Amino acid sequence: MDIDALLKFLEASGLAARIRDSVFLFPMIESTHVIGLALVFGTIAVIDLRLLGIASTQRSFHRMASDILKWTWGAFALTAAAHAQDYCGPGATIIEFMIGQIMMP
Amino acid sequence: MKQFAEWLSTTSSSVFIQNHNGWVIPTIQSIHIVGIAAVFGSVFMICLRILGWAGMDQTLRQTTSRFGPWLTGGLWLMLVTGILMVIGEPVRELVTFSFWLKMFLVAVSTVVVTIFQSSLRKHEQRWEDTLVQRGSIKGLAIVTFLIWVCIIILGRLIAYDHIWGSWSPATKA
Repeated sequence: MDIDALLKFLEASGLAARIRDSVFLFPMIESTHVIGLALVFGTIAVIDLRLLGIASTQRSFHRMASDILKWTWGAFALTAAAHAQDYCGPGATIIEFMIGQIMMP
Repeated sequence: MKQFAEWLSTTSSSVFIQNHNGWVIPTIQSIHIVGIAAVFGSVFMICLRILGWAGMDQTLRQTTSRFGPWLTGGLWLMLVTGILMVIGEPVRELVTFSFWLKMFLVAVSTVVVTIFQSSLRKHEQRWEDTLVQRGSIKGLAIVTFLIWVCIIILGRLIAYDHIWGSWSPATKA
């Protein structure tokens, strides 16, 4: 697929124009992204530390996974949605797009 | 404050960070975000337990002993990296409305967390039996979580302080 055409399409979209024209939208989307990221990383760390046997070792893994992972997925959806909106913001460059693809877990 | 920020930017430690700006500031910022994840994740887990939405196989005390140290550790990590960012970019940080509102909310939430932890230590049984079921306590858990949401948003808004209009000292300068 032609990445240039895709980026131009994104930049010309109505959503992109709304984000560019608003003073609030871009920082708010970024903040949502950081909030989601902190929750994904925080809750994943709780599960990982249990798997590594470093913390919460007296709790059953099954119980913890059913308890916590639903929140991780919820936060992931929030982060991904905010990230997708970021692409439509000012200066969606090819490099930014590619870095985004690599960074997305 | 502007004079202090300008003086701070001439100190040798600030000049060092400015001279290595290519990687020092981004590295500190990244560590600061890891700190946010530790603090916000811990606050989240404790709030979920108070609300009864997760960790119900654990007592409140077990939950706070599990996440309390991460909360405190994360706060220290953010204090250290935060101070380094202020030293590195004093005017960008200190001459903003967002920064000071953020610091006020950090102080408020630290006081709330400290009171909660010491009260839980003193009246453990009462907390486990009755207090944790109270609507007001559940409300306070939600408010504390939202304060942290605001802290994160304000942290981001330091870079966009002009949105506050005349409240932002940067627009007056």
